Amino acid sequence: MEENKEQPVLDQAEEEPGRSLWGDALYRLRRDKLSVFSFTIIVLYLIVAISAGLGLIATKYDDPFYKADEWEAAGLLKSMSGTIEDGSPADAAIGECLAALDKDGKEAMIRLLPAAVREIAGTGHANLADKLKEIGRRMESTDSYAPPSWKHILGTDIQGRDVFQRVVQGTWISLQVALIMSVIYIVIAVFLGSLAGYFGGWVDDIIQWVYQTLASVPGLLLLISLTFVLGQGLMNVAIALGVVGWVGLCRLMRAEYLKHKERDYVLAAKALGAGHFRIIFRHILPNTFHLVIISFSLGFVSAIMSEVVLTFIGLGAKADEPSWGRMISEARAELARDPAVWWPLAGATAAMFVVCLAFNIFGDSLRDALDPKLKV
Amino acid sequence: MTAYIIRRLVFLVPIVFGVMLLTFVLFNVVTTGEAIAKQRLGPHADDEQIKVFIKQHGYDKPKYVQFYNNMTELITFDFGRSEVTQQKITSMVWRGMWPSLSLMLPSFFFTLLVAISIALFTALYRNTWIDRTTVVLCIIGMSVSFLAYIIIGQYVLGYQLKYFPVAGYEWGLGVFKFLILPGLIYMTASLGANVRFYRTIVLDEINQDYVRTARAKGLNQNTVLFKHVLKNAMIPIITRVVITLPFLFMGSLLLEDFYGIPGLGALALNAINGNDFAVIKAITFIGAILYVLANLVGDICYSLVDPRVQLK
Repeated sequence: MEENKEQPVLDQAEEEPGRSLWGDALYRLRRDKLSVFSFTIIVLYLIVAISAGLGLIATKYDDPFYKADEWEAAGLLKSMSGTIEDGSPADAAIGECLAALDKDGKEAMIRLLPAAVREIAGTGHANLADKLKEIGRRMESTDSYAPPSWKHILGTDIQGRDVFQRVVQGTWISLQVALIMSVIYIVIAVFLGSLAGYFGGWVDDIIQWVYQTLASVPGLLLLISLTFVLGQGLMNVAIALGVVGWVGLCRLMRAEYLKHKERDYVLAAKALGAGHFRIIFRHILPNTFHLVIISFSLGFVSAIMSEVVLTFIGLGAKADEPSWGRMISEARAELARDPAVWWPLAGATAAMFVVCLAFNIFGDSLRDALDPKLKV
Repeated sequence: MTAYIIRRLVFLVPIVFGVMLLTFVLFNVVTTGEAIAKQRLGPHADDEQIKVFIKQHGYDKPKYVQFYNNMTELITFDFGRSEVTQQKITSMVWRGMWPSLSLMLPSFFFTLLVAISIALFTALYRNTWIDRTTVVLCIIGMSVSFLAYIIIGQYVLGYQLKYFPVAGYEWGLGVFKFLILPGLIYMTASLGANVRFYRTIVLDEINQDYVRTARAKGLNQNTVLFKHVLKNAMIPIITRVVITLPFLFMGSLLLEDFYGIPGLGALALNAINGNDFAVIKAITFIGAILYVLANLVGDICYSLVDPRVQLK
C-alpha cells in the first residue's frame, strides 16, 4: 500500500523541474485558500477603486438627494389629472408641470407647482392640493440623515448625500494615499538601504545616522509635524507617510545587501566587469525584491489606518472629501444626535475592515511564501 | 560594563544632534517665519504686524543664529512660552505627563499580561484549531481602525449602557473610574498585534534545541513553558516593553481627546488645532529624547541579561 502511494509522487518529483523562488511562492500562495480569497478581495477593491476614480461608478457621491424626487411628484400629478375633469384650468396647470419636467427638468417643475396647487384648490379638491403642496416641500428639502433603506442602502449624510456612494469613492482616495506613500517610501528605502549595505563604510554610517534619527522621533508626532508643516490635505498626508515610513524597509534592505554582496554571483558579475550600479540594481535587487513586495502589502494597511487618525486630528482630508477617515471622524458628533446616526461610521468602518483584513492576510501569506527562512 | 555604557552614550550624541537638526529643518527652514506669522495672526494681519511677529520670534536672524538659539533652547529644556496660552511649555509638558501616565501605564501592563498569557496558552495548543482561531481573531482585531474602537466603545459602554462615565478626569485616586473604559479600549485595540507578536516570540523559543532537551528529560509541558521558554522569551519582551515606554509618556492623542484626560496627547492635539508651533516642536523633541533614552536603557538591560551583547 505504502509503496503504491509513494511511487507516483517520486515520478512526479523527477519530472518536475525545480521551481524558482517566485514560482515556489506562487505555488504556496495558490495552495492557501485564505490567501487566494484575500487576493480576490484585493483585486475587487482595486477594480472598484479605479472605476470610482475614473468616474464610472458612484458618480453621484457629491450630489444631495431630496426627500421626494421628481418621479414621485410626476406620479402624483398623473393620478390627480385622472380625478380632475379634463380641460379645466387645474388640469392644464398639471399638464404644464409635467411638460416642464420633461423639457427643463426638476427645477422648472418646482417653479410651476404653486400655480398648480392654487388651481386645484380652486376646484375644491383641498386634500389633493395639500398633498401636492407637501410633495413640493419635500422636493426642496434635502434628505438629511435618512436611515438605510432600499434607495440608500447606507442612508444619507448631513447634506443628504448617499453614504454608500461616498464609501465607494473612499476606496479611490485610500488607494491614492496608499500608492503615493508606497512609491515614496519604497524608492527611498531601496535606494538608501542598498547603498548602505553595498558600500558600507562612511556611506553606511551616514545613512544609518539618518534613519536612526528619523526612528527616534515617535512616528505619529513626526507625521503630525510634517503634515503640520506641509499643510492640510490628502496628498500631504501621503507624502508625509512616505517620508516617515521608509526606515523599517531600509533596515531590511541594508541587511540583505550586506549578505548578498559576499555571494558568488556578485563576485562573478564583478569579474565580468559589471559596475557598482549594475550590480546593485540588476543583480542584487531582484534577489531582495520580495521584501519590497511584502512591505508594500502590509504598508497599505498602515496607510489606510494613518489616514483616519490624521484626518481626525484635522490634518488629512478636507471637509468635503469622501474619505473613510472623514466619515469615521464625523461619527463622534453624529452618534450624539437623537436618534443616533450610525450608518456613515458603519459603512466606512466595514469597508476599511474588509480591505485591511484582506491586505493583512495576504501580506502574511506572502511573507510565509517568500521568506526563505521558513522553508525547512 | 561602565565602558559599554559610556560607549553607548557617545553614540547618542549624533542622534540627538540629528533630532535637533530635524526639528530645526521642519520648523525653521521648511516653514518660514512669514508662514508661521500668517497662521498665528490670522488672515487679517497687516504687513507691519507680521514684521513685528517675525522680529519677536527671531525669524529674521540668519539661519545659523536661529539654529544656535534653537539648540540652546532644546539642550536647556527651556522651550519658552506657548503662543496660545502664554504658559511655560516646560511646565505644561510636566503637568500633562502624569495624566498620560496614569492612563497608559496600567493599560499597557495589563495588556502585556493578557497578551503574553494568551500567547503562552496558544503555544500550548499550537497547530490546533485553538491556535489558528486566535491568529485569525488577532488579524481581525488589527483590521479595525483605532478611532472606530474608541467611538463605538465610548458610545455603547458609556452613553448607551452607562457602565462607565463617558469622559472626565480628576486628580487623585478617584480618577480610576474614568480610566477603566479608555484602558479597556486601549487593550482591545492593541491586543491583536500584541498577541501575534508574543506568539511569534514564544514559538521561536519553543522550536529551540533546549526545549527538546528539557522535554526529553521528562519535564512536563507546563514546566518547560513557564520555566524555560518564558525565561528565554523575556529578552525580546523586555526590549519591546522598554521601546514602548516613551510612547506611554507621550500618552494617546485620540484616547485623551475622547475621554477628556488632560495629558500630553490632549496637549499635542490642542497645539495642532491652535497652530501652536512652539508646543509641537517641544513635544516632538521631548518624545525623541525619551525614545533615545529608552533605547539606551533597553540596550543596557539587554547586556545585563545576555552578556554576549557587549562583545559585539
